[in-house]
Amino acid sequence: MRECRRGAQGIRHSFVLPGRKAARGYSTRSTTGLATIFLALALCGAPPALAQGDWVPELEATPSESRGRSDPIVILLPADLDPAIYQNLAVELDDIDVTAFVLVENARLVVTPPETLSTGSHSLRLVERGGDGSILERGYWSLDVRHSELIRDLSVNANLAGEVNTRFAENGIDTPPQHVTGESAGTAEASAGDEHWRISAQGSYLYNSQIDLGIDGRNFDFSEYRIDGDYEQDSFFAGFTAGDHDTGIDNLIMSGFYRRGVSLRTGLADDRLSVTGFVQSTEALVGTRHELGISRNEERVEGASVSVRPIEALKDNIVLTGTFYTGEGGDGGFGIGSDEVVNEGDGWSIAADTLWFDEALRLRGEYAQTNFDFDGKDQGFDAETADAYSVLASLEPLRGATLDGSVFTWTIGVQRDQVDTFFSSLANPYLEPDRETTSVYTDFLWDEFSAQLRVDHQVNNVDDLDYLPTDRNINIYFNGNYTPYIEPLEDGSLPWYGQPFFGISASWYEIDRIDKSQDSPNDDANNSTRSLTLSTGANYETWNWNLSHTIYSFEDHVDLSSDTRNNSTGLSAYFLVDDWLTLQPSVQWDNFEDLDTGDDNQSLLLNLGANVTVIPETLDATLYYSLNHRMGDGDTPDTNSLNGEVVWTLRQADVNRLGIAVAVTGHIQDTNDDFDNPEDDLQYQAFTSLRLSLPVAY
Amino acid sequence: MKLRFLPLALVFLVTASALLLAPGAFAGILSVDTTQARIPVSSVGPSTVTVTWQVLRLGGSAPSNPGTISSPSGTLIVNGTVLATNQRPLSRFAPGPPATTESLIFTETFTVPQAVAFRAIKSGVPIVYQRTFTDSLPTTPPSSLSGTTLLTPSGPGSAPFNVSRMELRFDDGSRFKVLPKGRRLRAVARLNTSGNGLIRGQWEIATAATTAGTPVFRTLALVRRPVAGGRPVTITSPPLPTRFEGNNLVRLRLDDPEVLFDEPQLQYYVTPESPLPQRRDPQPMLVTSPSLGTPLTLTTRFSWQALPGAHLYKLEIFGAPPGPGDNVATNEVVTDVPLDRAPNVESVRGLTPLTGIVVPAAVTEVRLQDFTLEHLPGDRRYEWSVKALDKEGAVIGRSPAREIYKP
Repeated sequence: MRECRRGAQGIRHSFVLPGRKAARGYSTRSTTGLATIFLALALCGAPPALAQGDWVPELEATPSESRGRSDPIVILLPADLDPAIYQNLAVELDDIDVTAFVLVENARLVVTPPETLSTGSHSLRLVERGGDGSILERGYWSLDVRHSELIRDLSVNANLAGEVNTRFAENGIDTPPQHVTGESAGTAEASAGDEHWRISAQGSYLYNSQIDLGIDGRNFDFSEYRIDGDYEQDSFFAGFTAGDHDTGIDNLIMSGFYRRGVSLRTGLADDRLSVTGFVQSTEALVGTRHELGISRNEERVEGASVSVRPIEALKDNIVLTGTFYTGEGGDGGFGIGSDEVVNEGDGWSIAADTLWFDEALRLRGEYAQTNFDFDGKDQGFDAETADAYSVLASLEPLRGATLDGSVFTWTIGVQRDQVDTFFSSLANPYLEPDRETTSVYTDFLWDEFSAQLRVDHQVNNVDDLDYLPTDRNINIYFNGNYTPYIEPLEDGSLPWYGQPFFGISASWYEIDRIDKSQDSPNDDANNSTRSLTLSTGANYETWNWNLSHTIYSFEDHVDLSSDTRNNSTGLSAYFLVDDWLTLQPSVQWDNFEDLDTGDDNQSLLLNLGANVTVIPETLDATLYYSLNHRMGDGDTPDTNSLNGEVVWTLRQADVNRLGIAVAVTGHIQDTNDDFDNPEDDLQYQAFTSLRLSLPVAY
Repeated sequence: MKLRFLPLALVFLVTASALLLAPGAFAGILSVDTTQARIPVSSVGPSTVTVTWQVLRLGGSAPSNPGTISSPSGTLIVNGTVLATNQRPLSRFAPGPPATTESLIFTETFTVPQAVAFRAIKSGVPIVYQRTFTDSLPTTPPSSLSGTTLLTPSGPGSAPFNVSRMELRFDDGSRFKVLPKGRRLRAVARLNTSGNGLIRGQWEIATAATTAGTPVFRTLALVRRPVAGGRPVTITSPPLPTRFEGNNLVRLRLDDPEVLFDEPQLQYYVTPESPLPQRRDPQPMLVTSPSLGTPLTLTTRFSWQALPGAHLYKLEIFGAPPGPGDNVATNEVVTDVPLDRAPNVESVRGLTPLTGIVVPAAVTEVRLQDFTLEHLPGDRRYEWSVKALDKEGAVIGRSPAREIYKP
């Protein structure tokens, strides 16, 4: 079927969408409503093809009990339907126009899904363009794609790999491990589900014969895992998650809290009410020493969050959320470096997020309170109670307006935050306390230009303690980009300068002490921090490049610390040479100066990565060269290093089929210093490896 | 008169004899001072401070009075109560030339816990850091003297430049990854800072080419990030190398400021390239039309550069987040060297398209039909992207997500 351009560009009438039957469900019954407007005109200049006002397509039943993921979908048209109408028909699968993949065969439309359908419910729509340009929905069906009659969703995927390495050469390694080492890792996912329920699990493991490189001090262990279960009816939903996850709660007392634990959720299907309860470890865990991570009272937080959309008519516009937590623990664990101190605390938050005037205005507010024992349970001072609030108003005043023919997007906003001096939460370790910040910002996008500007005014010592000084911090941040539109050449290629882009980013921070400490009147502060970054680059079909330069300066007007200046330049590129070679060169140059002491030091970092396919699917190589050269004061030894790997694939891995490969891999690193008695330190290790891999899919 | 001066003379003779005859008779610590009488510390987090002690020692009358000046620990005191102890000992050998004062310098760096600063603020007094230095040369009594310096909780303008916390994760939030060769991966470091300065460090990796034996780290990219007034900072790594099969390690090592906690590192294991289509990363696709700012109408032409190996192209339109944009994020930076060629589709990741069109590989430009556009309410912003699929259904190419407005 052709697309009909005249119909698409001619006079358009309002669409006619016959009412759909309410019981759409998970069946293959047609729910077509009849077109009510008689189509008078044909399109495309062809002889008038009179639309039959009343014809009903049917969906051909599947040969088997359940529809497979790649099974063609056949729409049966009335045998006496005027063939001229065929050119006016279009098919949508999940609201995506797939007309180009529909074949017409004897009053049948055969839809071959261009992508393998996922299991679950899909929509199929047949539309006809009327002679007057109107759109008639001739048929609408819900398709249920199932794994089998027994169960709708069932999948198991795994990616397993392992290798045995034999070191046949080494030098300069102080304490080399055993000559033969082994390692293996894998990830597995499984899911099952049907109309109202779904359960899924995923996890990974690591084995390493060198215990120092194992997980959590073990040769073999599982690392992270996650199990999800969900149940949904027409009116409500419920679910749980166990393992390593972030509940998604994001407010002043809890944000980005990715930890091991258990969370439960339930609510109404229309999202007007949802409740999440959680119990999670405060410590970041991997491995199976603590399977659920919540067995220790002294290392967990627990709480809940409730979201309500109180007004039915405004359920997309007003959301109220309340959250509370209580717990005790330290802020440390795998992947975290800190002074791990055990604290006890609790807190609550209430927030409102609203949209007005057709989503052009956002008003958001939050108030939170915490109790936090800074100096330990049952010692020193009691837990400190502290408050925080945040309010934001942002407006898109001229949405849809155009400037010189191009739409521009303009947002302005103001935000006010106040966080008490001793506001702290176990579930939000990133929060910056002790500040009153008023922020004004604007965001502008027009044609090839975009810009962002933000101005902050911030003071500390929110609790107005005489013992502490009060500093004022004024920040100005600007970011701008220019991406010119490039018309391709006649042959469709890009001109020699490709698709270029340009950027500028600048920031300025000014800190001064507006009220000194009564205890330390000589303790003063007055400094400025500035940075400016210029960047440019271009994209081509098979390569791109990027260049940037950053200037940073720090001036201390009371000479507490040194004035400093830093210049950094970075240039990198990527080249794809046919299909067998990729190159990734990069260079960074950095110059740091202490303007008070006269010290300076320079760093030069050169990297070159190359991936070579010598024989496709059989022999490939990877090389990575790096030069790290430092000069000036505080000099450290230079290093030249080369990492390389050549892999010969004896048997290509395929789904549920073991792959076998052998490899030669290794590195060489040369370390030089610039002292009078130069001392070369040559390190190298070389290995042969036998590798096995097994991708599993069901 | 002779009798009255006799006791004094005897005392003098005895003392002189003791001084002259006893080996190293007197080599004592005369004073213990610090170069800074007051050192500001952060009031809202732990602080890493450097204290320099100057110990003045007097050499005795003997030709040589060697000894070791040492201090086993330092204590943090608030209102007379010892709240924390720095267990790191300080020790230095003093040769002890006769009758000469020696100046010995001891420099130490340690962390002042937030709990101690909290107590000091609540009590309205500074923190007293005290060390006692002892001379090993045997004297009676042993020569020992204490010195103190004051640590005063201060504002962000003068707090020491610190990184008090570093959390490393991969860009999907996990802390361990198993992924096929060639897949894109980044690490994200979230730092809690105080004070003012320039974070200088580098992303380092130990590839599988070394971890089969002894891991050897090399520098992947330099990191330079200013901090003013202490605030959370997020630093994203460049794309991590995923071409070496096996166990790989990544870390963010800081040169300045110095950190006293063990810097964390992450592991990721690279497996051979996956035959499963959904486990391969797409190449970037170049879009040639429409230009930014073109509204979405029936006449809007979407066009792109053909990608070798493509079997079909799919243009997808996604919903943009409702409402005006949020406040500009200024605390996040992405290390952009080496560059990342991956298309930026973060804004549409995990979203289901609202509508779109699928065309065969011979077609590289389309205009959407009215029955397609009817799925999209007007006066709204959307995001769109084109992806290329091969015969197996693998996504082999993708364009970056772009915003478009429908009137």
